[in-house]
Amino acid sequence: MGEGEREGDGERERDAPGYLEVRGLVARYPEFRLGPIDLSVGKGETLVVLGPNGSGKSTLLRLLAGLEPVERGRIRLAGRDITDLPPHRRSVGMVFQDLALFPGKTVWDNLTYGLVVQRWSRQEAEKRGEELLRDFHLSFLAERLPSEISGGERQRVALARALAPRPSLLLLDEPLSSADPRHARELRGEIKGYLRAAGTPAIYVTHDFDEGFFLAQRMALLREGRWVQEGPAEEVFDRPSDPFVAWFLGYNVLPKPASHHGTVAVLPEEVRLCDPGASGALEGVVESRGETGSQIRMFVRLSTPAGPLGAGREESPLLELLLPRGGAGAGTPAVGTKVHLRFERTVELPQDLPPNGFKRGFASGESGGP
Amino acid sequence: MASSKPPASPSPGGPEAGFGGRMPSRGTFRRWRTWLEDLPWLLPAVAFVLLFSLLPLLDVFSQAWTFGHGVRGVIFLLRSNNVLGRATREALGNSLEQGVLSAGLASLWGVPVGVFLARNRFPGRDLLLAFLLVPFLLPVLVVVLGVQELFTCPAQGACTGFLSSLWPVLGALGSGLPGILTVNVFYNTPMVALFTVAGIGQSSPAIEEAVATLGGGPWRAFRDAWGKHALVGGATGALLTFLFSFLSFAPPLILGQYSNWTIEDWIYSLFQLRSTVVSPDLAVAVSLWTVLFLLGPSLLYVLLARHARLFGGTPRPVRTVRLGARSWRALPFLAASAALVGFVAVMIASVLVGSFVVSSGTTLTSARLGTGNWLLLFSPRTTQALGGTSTVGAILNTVFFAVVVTLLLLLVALAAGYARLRHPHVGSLVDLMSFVPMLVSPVILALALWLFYYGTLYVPAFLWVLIVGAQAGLALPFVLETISLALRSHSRYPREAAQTLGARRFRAFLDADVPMAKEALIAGALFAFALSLGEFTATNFLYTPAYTTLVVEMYVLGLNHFSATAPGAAAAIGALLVVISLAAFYIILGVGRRGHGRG
Repeated sequence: MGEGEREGDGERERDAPGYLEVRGLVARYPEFRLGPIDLSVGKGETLVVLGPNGSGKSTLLRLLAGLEPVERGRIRLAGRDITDLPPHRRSVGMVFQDLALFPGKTVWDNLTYGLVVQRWSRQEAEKRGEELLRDFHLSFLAERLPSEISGGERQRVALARALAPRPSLLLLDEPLSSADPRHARELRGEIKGYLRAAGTPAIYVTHDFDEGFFLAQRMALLREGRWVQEGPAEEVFDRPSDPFVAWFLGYNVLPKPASHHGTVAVLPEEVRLCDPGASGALEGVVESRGETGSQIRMFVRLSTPAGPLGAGREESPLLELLLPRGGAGAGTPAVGTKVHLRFERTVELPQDLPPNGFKRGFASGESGGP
Repeated sequence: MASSKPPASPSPGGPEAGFGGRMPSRGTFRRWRTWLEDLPWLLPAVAFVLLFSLLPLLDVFSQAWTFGHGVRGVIFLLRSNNVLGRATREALGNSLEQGVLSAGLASLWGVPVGVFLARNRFPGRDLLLAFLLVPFLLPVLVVVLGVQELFTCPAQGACTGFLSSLWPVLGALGSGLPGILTVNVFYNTPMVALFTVAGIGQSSPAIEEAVATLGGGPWRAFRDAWGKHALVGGATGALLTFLFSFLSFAPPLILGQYSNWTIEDWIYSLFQLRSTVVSPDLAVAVSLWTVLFLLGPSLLYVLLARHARLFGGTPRPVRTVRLGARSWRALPFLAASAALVGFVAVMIASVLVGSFVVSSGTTLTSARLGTGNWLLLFSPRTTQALGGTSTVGAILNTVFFAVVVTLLLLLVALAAGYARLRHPHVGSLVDLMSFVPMLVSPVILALALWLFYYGTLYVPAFLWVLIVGAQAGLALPFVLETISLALRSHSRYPREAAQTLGARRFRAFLDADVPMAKEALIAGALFAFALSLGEFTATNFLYTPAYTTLVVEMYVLGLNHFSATAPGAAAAIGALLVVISLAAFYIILGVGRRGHGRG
C-alpha cells in the first residue's frame, strides 16, 4: 500500500493544504475533556503540539491513531474519512513515548513488522527493510534485540519502524522524553532530517519548547484540552496570543505597568539593566543569580509600585533575566542589590493575569482577560 | 498549509463544512460495538466458570434453600441430640479449631520469615523465595505421607518415623490434631511468608528513608513506613490459611480419627451414606451452610488482598539491608527462615528416601533399603487393589487429565487476559468469578458437579469431562492470576504500536503481549499441570476405577484406613510425585530467571 502514492510525491503535493483535516474533535473522560479541536496539516508538513503535562497532547495523538474512541467530530486523511476506522486500517504510524519496540524481536523483525502484517510481498518487504536499515544507519544492528542497542539507536529503530509501511501520517508522542539532554539535542536533528526525507506529514507532541520550536513548521498550543494558539512557529513565538502562551514559551509575564488592564510579556534575553533615571525603568531587588554556561541567569523581585503592578497580590512579580557573561552582563549586581530594569521589546496582551496569582491561576485553569 | 484560525480563539465546536451533515455522538455506540466484537474472547472464561462452578453451585444451593433443607434441615441437625447432630456440631467445631490454630501457627512462623526475606539482602535470597513455592506444588497426599514417614509412632509398638525413632517425643506430630496441624502449617507457613513479602513490597522505601533522615529509628520506620504493610500481608495470608484449614479434607481423613474430621470430611461422609442412613440432601444442606458461614471470611480475604494490592499491584523496590556478621537483630528471623527451609527439605527428603525403605518389621532398624516398593507398584497385586486399573493406567490417566487441564486453562486464561486488557471492569468480574471454586472448597464443588450433571455428564463415557472441569476449576484462580498479572503488568504501547502498524487487535495481542508474558504462560501452565497432578479431593469424590489417578492410587493403596494394602507402593508414588513437582519448580525457577535476565 501507499507505494505509488509516495513515488509521486512532489513539492506541489507537499504544499497542498489539508492533507489531514480534523474538525470538531471531542473526547470525553471522567475527569477530562479534549476539544473541540480543529486542525489541518499539509502534506510533508510537521505540526508541533506543545502543552504542559496533562493538557491532552498524547490523547489527541491517540484519537488520531484510533487508539481512543472519538466522542464527536471528524478526521479526514488523504481524502478519506478515517474517524470510524480501527487503528490498523488508518495508515497512521506512531512513535510512542517509551518507543514500544517489541522486546523479543530483533531490529530487523521490528522494522519489517508492519510490512509483514500488511502483507507486503517478501521481496518488497526485504527491499524496504534494507532501505530503512541503510537510511537510518542500522545495518550493523539488524540481528540485535532492542535490549542490546543504545537508547539513540532504539529511537532510530522506532522511527524507522513507524515509517516502514509508508504511513499517510506520522505521530510522534514525546519520543525524546527519555533521552538525556545532550543526546536529545542530537536526535532531534536526526529526526528533522528523517522527516524531511520521508516527506510524511507529522504531528510531533512535546512539552519542551526548544525541541518543538526546532522541529516545527507550524506550532499549536494545547491547554486543558483546548486549542489555545496555532500558527507558523515563528509567529506563535513572536506573538503569543495570551498570558498562558507567553508564559509557556518562556516569557516573563507581568501586569501592564501604569494600566489597570492587560499584561506585558518580555523574554528574559530582552530585559536589560539600566540607570535609575531611564524612562520607564522598573525597580527591583536581585533575589538570586547564577551562571549557565555562556550566560548569567538572574531573578529580580520587582518593587515598583507604579500602576496596578502587584496590586491585590501577595507578592510582586519575579522577573527572569538572561545576560551574556561578558559585555552587558559584565559586573552584574550581587544578590540583595537594588537594580533598575528596562525592556528592549515587549508583547502587549489584552488579558489580565489571573487574580489569585500567576502560576496558581494557570494551573487551576483560571483565565485572565477583561 | 495551516487552517487560518485567529489566535486565542478556541474552536467553538468546529466548522463542519466539507465533512457533511451533523456530527453524531459516537462514544457509546463505539463502546458497545467494541464490546460485541470482543464478546467471543470473553466467552471461554465465562462459559467455563458458569458451567463448572457457578451454575452447578447455584442450582444445588437454590434447591437446598427452596426445599427448606438449607434452613430447617441444618438448624434441626445442629440442635438435635442424635448421632448426626452431634457429629455435625463436632465437625464444625473441628473445622474452626483447626482453622484458627493453623492460621495462628502459620502466622507466628510465616510473618517473621516474610519480614526476614523482604528486608534483608543476601546471596541466594531469590532462590529461597522461589523455594517457598515448593510446598504449594506438592500434592497434599505427599505431605501427609511425609508427615507419616517422619513422625509415625503407633500407640503400640516402636516409632518407625525417621525423626520419631530418634526422638520419640516427636511422634506426637504423626497423627491426630498435631499431625493435621503439621500438614496445615507445612502448606501455609510459606504462603503467609510470601504474602508478608508481597505486603512489604507495597511499602514506600522513600517514606522509610525520610523517617530515617528525620531521626526515626527502626521502631519508627516499622510503625510509620513498612509495618502496616507487613501486617496486612501477614493477616491476608493468615485469613487464607484459616479458610484452607477450615476446609481441609485429606489430612483429617488420613491422619485423624472421626473425632478430628472437619466439615469437609463430614459432607463427604454424608454423601457416601446418602441412600442408606441419611437423606441425600443433607450433604447439600450442610454445604450451603458451610458456604454461607465462610462467605464473610472469604469476601474479607478478597477485599484485603485487593486493597493491599497483593495481586496486581506493582511491587516497589523494597529497602533492604545487606545481611552481615553484625546483623544480630536478624538472628531470630534467620533461625525461623532456616527452620522453615529445613522443614520443607526434610519432608521432601523423607518421601524420597521412604520410597526405597522396605520395612520387614515394626521398627526402623529392621528396615532395609531396596527397590521393593517400586516393584510392588507395578505388580498385579496393585492392579487388583485398584479394581482393575494398573499403575501404568493411573499414570496415563493422570497425565491425560493434567495435559487437558493445562491446555484448557491456558485457553481460558489467555482469552480472559485479552478480554481483561480490553475491558478492565469485565475482566475484574471474570477474576472474581474464577475465585469461586477456591472459596467453596473441592468437596462442595465436586458435590455440586455430581448433582448437577448426574445422568448427563456423570456417566462413564463423560466422567472425565467432570474430573477435568473440577480440577481445572480448582486450579483456575492460580493460573488466571499468574497470567493475568503478567499481561497487565506490561506496557500497552507495543500492542498499540502493532495496531498502528496494521495488525488487528487480536493479532497485536498475540504479537506484542503474549511474547512479553511468555514466562508467566509457562509458569501458569506448570502450575496447572502440577495442581491437576496432585488434586485429590474432588477427583476422589468423582472418580470410578477406570479414572484412577496417581494420588487416588496412593490413597487407596497406602493411606486409606480401610483399603491400605500396599503402603510401600504409596511411598513410591509419593516419591514419583515429588520428583515431578520438583521438576515443575525447577522449570518455573529457570523461566523466572530468564525473564528477570531480560529485564
